[in-house]
Amino acid sequence: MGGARTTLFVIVALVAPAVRAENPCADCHSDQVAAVAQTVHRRVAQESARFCVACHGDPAKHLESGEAKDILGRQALAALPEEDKSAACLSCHQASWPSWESSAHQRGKVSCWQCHAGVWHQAVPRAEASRSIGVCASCHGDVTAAFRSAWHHPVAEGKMSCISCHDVHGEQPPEELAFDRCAQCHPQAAGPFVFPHRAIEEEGCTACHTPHGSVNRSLLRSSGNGLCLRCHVQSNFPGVGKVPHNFQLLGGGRCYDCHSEVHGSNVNDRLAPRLER
Amino acid sequence: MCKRCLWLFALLGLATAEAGEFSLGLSAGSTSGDKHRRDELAAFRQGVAASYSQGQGLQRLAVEFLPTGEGKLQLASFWGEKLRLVAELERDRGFSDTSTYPERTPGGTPVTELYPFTNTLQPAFGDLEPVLARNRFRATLTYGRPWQGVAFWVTGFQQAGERTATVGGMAFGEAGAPAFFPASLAKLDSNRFEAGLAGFRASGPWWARGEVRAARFSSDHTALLPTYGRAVLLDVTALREKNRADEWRAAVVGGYAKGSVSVVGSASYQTLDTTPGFASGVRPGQLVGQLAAASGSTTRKAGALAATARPLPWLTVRLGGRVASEEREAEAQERFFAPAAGSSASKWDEASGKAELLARTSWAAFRLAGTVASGSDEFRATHGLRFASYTADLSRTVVAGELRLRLPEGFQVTLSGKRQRRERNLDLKELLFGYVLGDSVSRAEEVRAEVGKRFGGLEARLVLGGSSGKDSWQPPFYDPIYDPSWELATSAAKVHQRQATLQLQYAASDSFSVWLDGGYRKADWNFDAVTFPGFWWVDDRLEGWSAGLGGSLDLSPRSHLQLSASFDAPRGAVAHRWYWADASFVQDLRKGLAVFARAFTRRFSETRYGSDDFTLKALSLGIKGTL
Repeated sequence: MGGARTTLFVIVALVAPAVRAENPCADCHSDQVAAVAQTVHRRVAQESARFCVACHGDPAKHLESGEAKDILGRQALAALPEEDKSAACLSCHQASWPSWESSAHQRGKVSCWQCHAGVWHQAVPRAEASRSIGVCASCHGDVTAAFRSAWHHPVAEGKMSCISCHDVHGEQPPEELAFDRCAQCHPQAAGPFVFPHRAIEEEGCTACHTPHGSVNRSLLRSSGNGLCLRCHVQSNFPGVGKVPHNFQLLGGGRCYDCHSEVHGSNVNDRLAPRLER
Repeated sequence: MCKRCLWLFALLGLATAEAGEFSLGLSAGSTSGDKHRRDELAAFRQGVAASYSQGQGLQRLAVEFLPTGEGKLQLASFWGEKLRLVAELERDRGFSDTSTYPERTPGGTPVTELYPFTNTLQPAFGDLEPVLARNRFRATLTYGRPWQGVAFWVTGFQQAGERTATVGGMAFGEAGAPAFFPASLAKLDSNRFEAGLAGFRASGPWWARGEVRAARFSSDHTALLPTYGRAVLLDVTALREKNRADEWRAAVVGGYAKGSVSVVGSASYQTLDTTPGFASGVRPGQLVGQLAAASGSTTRKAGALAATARPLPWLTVRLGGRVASEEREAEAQERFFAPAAGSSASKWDEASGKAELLARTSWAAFRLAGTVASGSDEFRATHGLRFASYTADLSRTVVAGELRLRLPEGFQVTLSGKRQRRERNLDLKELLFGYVLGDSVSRAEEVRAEVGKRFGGLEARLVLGGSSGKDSWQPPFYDPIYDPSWELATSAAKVHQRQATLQLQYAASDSFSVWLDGGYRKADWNFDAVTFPGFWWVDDRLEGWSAGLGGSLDLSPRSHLQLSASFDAPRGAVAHRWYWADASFVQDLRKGLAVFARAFTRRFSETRYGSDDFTLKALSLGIKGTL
């Protein structure tokens, strides 16, 4: 019996929401506070006026007069510049998204509200906002088309989302994007190797791959040798170099059939361990 | 009571705290055409799919299971006022083809002219279905609030299984010439475990965040490359690259924001100690470790500072700078087949600056940004007698602009452009029996125009875009030069792309909406032919249509229909048609229950050589509702 009580106590402790109605705004705006109480912001909305003040501004004058004109209402908020809309959220969440100021979304005047505010006072939770390709596709339609390619990352299939790769709240240099994000699921390509492919070091994975979708297998930019020849333009030159590459390539061979360790090798600098056998 | 039971009760407790949503469905499908060639569609095979979710946001439980053995578990919960746990466990599986180019090689040579007249995995590996499974786990425990608190997290990742590799094995053609297309197999086995601790605080206009994380990971990748003679399998070459690494990373970021001024600064430090590995053999079971005294280390340091000011209500100015450096060393001694010592080392330093100006009025917004970056790369590599050493200076400039206009009649126009230039100048120190790329200059331009307008419930948007790039390369350095009579010249690689997309969306009400987006794209890859005497299959061209359409309709207050379809039809260097069509129907029943049906078809048809042609038809039936 004692064990059952312990279990019950644990369940209650885990699931019981801590309801503490201490927000003075609820005295007059109970419907709005109740609506927020159904969202991820329910704690902060119930325990203090901090959540309300973040968007609606200092309530001192409004509390004194009771007039709607003395506080930022719905229409005034809608007319605010996008960066000011974001500032309301950042008054609490700045430390969670430290590089928001340098993000492409901030630069492009996309505020937090555009992705997270589905319905007034009902901010779309992070999970729902980010896992739906629809939120991103509303602006990035050309990327949506890439996901229709025969070979694509399985975003439409729900196995991953845009934020699996993109830091939508910040800025990441392309080469770091590759190492930090691509390597999470493709560690065999990340190394570090004794002899890394210099293209990855300098340009990242996108030197050869189109990450959203491609008409080519393995999301390659090109199915042919043009992929490699973009940089190695004169590697085939007859009589120059140790191997006259025309012999192999005339038969339709691809560079990486021999130089198979395209991401890097621990064995030799030609990325072709098979040649040593 | 055992701990496991306690957890179970805790989850059930969460589940019974409020109503949850469930779904249970049965799927059945049929395939025709070249079965097992587009096996990633195996995710739609018959079986049972089930899901349950309850709560939202930070108080949530969700479970999902698919017929393919994939699924996810998400749990988010509060303990008391400030302690929050978010845990996610996911498993997905990638189903691979059993051939890469079934009928013809990518260059068009019929596979029937190769031995053993097939390009599937079967002759070398028997009947198998390559599947790669990925399991992920992440748990974050946070104490505090978004503006002040600490967070501890652990993540785990495991990848194990097989994929059909794009890299080919080897076979011999009729004339004895080698070709490289018989399908080969990759086996993967990787793990990563990470733990981290972060603290963050905002106080008035100041805020800061610091974190430290430690990770250990290993990757193990084996390529199995078959070689066929005239009629028999000669052997399977097994090449196994392994890496094990221990990583430490510390980072701090902080800032000040008050009124129209904000400043952000950050610094990070990362070390990686690695143990490279390599094994090879003629059969997977005969792998022999090849490396001795293998070790590596990498150190990365970076710092950045950015300031933003709004001197006028309509004008924002932003300035930023970043410095970074990376030092990397690795070495290994190959022991058996071709004994040689190999090593490489690089030291990379980079500094960049960025300036940005944004102006905004009620009817227009303008942005102009410029980035200047320069770096130097000091590199040396040794492999046996081969040796190369050079210093490369790299510079990059980027200028980007954007203009947004709100025109009369409700038109919204966005024009943007970007131009990049990248230069790489090499100072070759030493070269022995090797090959090093020469100097290069790369430039790229891209432009984009977007026009949108709303006509009542219809929203239309037209997007036009294009890009052009050219990489010019000075002759590479070779040692030795076997034929000095050839004079190498500067050569270039060019890429041009154009794309047009039209998007239409019409929502008459909450109960009826349709959408359409379609576009045409064209891309060319060209190389200076003069530098490729006799070289075949280099230039690429690609063009074609891509489109999607769909709609949703309430047939009655209790029944809902949703339709969608898309196709992609590139032609040129690659040519195929790829169709999808989906239809789903939901009928609400009483007491919060509903039945649903989904029918869908996929077809992939390779049209250039008439090879792959695969069709899948599937039907799902199920019930969902609220418990």
